[in-house]
Amino acid sequence: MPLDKWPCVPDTFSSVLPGDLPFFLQTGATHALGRAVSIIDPYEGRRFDAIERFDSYERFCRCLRGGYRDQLVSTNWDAKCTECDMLVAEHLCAHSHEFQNALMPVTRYRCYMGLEEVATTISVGGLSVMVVSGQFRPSEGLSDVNTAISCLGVRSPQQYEVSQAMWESICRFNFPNELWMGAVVKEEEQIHLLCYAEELQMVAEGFEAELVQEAQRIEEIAQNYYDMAKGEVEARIMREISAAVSEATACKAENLWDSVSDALDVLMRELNVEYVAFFSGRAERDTVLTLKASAGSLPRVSEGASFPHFNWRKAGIRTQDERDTPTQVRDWTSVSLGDHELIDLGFRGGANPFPLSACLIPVRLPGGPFAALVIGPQLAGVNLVDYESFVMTACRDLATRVLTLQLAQILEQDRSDWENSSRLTGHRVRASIQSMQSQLNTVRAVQTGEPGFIAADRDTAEKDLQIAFQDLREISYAAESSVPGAFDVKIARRESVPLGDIVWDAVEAQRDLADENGIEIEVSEGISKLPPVYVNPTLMRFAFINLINNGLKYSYPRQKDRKRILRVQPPHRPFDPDEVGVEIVNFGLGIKQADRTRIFEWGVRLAKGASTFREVYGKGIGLWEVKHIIEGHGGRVSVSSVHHSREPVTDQNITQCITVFTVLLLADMRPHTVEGGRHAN
Amino acid sequence: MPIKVLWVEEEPQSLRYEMKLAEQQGWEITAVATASEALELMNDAAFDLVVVDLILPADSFQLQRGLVDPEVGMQLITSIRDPGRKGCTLPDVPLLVITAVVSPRQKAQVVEKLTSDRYYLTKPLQNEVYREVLIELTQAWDPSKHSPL
Repeated sequence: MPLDKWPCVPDTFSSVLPGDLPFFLQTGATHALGRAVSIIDPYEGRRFDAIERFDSYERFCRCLRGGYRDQLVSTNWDAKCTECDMLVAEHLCAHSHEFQNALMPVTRYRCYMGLEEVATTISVGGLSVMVVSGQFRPSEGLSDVNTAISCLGVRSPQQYEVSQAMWESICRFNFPNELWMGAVVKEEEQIHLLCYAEELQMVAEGFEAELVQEAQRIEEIAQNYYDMAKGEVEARIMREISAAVSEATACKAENLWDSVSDALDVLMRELNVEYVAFFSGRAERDTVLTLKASAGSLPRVSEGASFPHFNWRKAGIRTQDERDTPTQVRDWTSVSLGDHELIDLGFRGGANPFPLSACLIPVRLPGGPFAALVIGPQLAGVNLVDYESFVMTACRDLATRVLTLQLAQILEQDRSDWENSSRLTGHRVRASIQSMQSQLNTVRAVQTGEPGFIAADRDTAEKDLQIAFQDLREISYAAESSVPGAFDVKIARRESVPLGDIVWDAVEAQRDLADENGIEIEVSEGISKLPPVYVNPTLMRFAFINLINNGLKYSYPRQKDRKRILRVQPPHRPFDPDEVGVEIVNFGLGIKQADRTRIFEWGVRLAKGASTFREVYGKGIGLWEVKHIIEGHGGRVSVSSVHHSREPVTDQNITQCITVFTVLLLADMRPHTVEGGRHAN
Repeated sequence: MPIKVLWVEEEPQSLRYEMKLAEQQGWEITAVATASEALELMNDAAFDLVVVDLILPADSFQLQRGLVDPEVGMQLITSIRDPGRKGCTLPDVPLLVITAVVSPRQKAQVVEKLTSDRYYLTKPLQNEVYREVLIELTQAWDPSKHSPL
C-alpha cells in the first residue's frame, strides 16, 4: 500500500527498508523541537504524526509490543515506557549534535535546515526501528535513510547482535541491560514483509506531481532570494553612482583651477586616466600640457608654469583619416582610435564657452590605459584660464557618464549572474525531476510488460533513479545556500544596525496593507531604543516584514466601533541579557498548539481558521524563511497563542486569541556600536 | 525507412523512457551531449528531426566539468536554421525543444524558430502531451525530404 504523505515511499523503498525494519520513526524538527514525532508504518501504509505529545513514544512502544496494526491509532495509552530503548532514542535525538565521537553506531545526515542530525536503529519489543533525529526534506529523505541503513548494517534478514560499540554506549546511559536486546524479526513478520516488499514495487500515485510541486517550491525560494539580492545590488550600485556624481559635482570651489585639478584627479582616479592633454591651438606644438595620473595635481597655467609638450604621434594616437593631422581635424568626436564605444562618449558643445573649438574626447591609448584628451581652443590668443569652467564641466560630465556606464555594466552583470543562477537552479531541479519521472516510467513499463522494455532497463533505471534523488538533494541545498551574496544567511554581508530601525522600516513597508485591512500598527516606544544587532539588514528587514505581514493576515479586521491593533513591542517575558527581542502581537484566529511548531516548517501552510490544513494561504515558505533568517543570525523565533483570558489555546478553542511571535537576536555589544537608532528620541 | 533523429541532451539517461517511446515510433536516435558535437554530426549527416535542450554544455570541455550554458541551446538552434552554415543541407529541419527553461522571453525567441509552439515542451514532461507530439511528428514526417549526404 503506497503512502500518500511525505516522506513518500516510491518503489525503490524496498531497498531502503528491508525486511527487518518495519518502522521508522522521525523525531524533531530541530534540536529545540525534539518532541515532534512522525511514525511511518510502511507495511500498513500509515503515518502517525504527534507533535509535542509527550506520550508519543510510549504509545508507539506499546503498540509495537501489543500488536501494532490495530492499535497504532488508538488513544488509550498513557503509561510510561520503560521496557525498550526508546528513551535512548529520545536522548539521541535531543543531543544529536553532541554525538561527534559517539560510540553508538549512528550515521549522520543533514536535515532540511542544513543542521547535522543522526540516525540509528533501536530495538523496540524485539523489532528494529529506524530513528532519525530531525525532519527530512522530502527529496532527500529516502536517500538519507538508505545511507543510514547501509551504514548501520541492518539489511541482513537475520537476527543481528548489538555491537560492542553500541553496548558501551548503552552502558554510558546507565539503562538496565535488559532493555537492550538484539532486534529479532519474527518469522511471520518476514512473510508480511515479503508481501510488503512486493507492494512497494508499485509506485505511489501522484508521486511525480508531488515532486513537481517540490521543484516549484525550490524555484520560488530561489526566485525570492534572487529578488531580494537583486534589490540589494541595485541599491548598492545606485549608492555608488550617487557618491561618484557627488564627488565630481563637489568640485566647485572658488578657485577654478583647483576645482579643475580636483575634477581631473577624480577623473584620473576613477577612470584610470593616464594622460590629460590641453591644446592651446591647432598645431601639435600648441599642446600646452600633459599630465600623467601619477604626476599629482594640475599646475596652474596662469602662473606661467612650464609644461612639457604632448606628442600625439609618439603616443600612437591616430585619427580616422591618416591625412588628418591635429591641425586639420574638425570633428573631433569622429576620431577613431579603434575603440568606438569610447568615442561615443565624446563631449562636445554644451557648457563649452567655445563650442566650435573645443571638445573632450575620451580615448584608449593603443595597448595602454584609458586617456582623456581635452582639445582646444583652435583660436589663437585665447587664454587657457577661460577654459577652466568648460574643462571642469567636461570632466564632471565625462566622469558621471563613464561611471554610470561602468556601474550599469556591473549591475547588468550582477543581474545576469543572478538570473542565470536562478535559471540554472530551475534547470537542475527540473532535469532531476524529469530523470526520476523517466526512470519510474521505465520501471513501470517493465513491470507491466510494455513492448520494448526489458528487465535490464529496470536495473539501469533504478540506478539512475538513485542518482537523480541524490542530485535533487544537492540542489535543495544549493537553492538554500550555495548562491552567492545574500542567498546564504551565514555568508551574507552584515553590519551593526539598531534593531529598532529595521523594525520601523518593516512596519512602514506594511503600513498600507494595515490601512487597507483597517488594522492599526502600534509600535511601542521601547522599539526605538533597542540596541544594535549585527545582521544583514536586508534579510532581517525581510524577516520582520514577513512576520508583520503574517500578523496582519491572521488578525480580525476592524469591526463596528472596535479598533483592531497589531502591536510591535519589546518582549514582556524575561530573556537572556545578551539578547534583544521584539514581539509582534496580533488579535485574531490564533494558532492551535499542535500547529505552532509546524508553521515554521518548509511548505506548511496554515488554513483559514487555523484548525485544518484544507484552505491554505500563501506558499508556505514565508515563516520557514523567517526562521531560516533568524536562526542563520544565531537568533530564535517562536510563537505563542492564548485567549484573552490567558488560557492556552488548545485544539478545541481557537477563536479570539492573542498570538505573539517573539524574535530574539544577539545584541551587538561591541563598544563602537551606538545604542538607539534614527527613531530614538 | 527510419526517421533519423539527432537528440541533443546533456543527460540522455534522464529521458530514457521518452527515447524508448520514440524508438517504438520508428525513430533512429543519435544522442549527443554538447552543441559542438551536434553541429559536427549535422555537417556529416542529414537528420530528419533534431531534439534540443536549451541548457547545454557548449563542448566537451564544459561537459567534462559539468558546466552548462543557458544560451548554448538557442545558439545551436540559430546555427541549425542558418542556411549559410557550413554543411547545412536542411535549414528547415523540424525541431523539437525539450527543456527546463521557462523564461517567457527565451521561450518566445525559440518558438519563433519552431514549426509550432506545440514543439516546445517543458521538463518534467507530461506523458500524454509528449506522446501526442511524438505521434504528430512521426505522422508529419515526409520521407521525400530526407536527403542523406
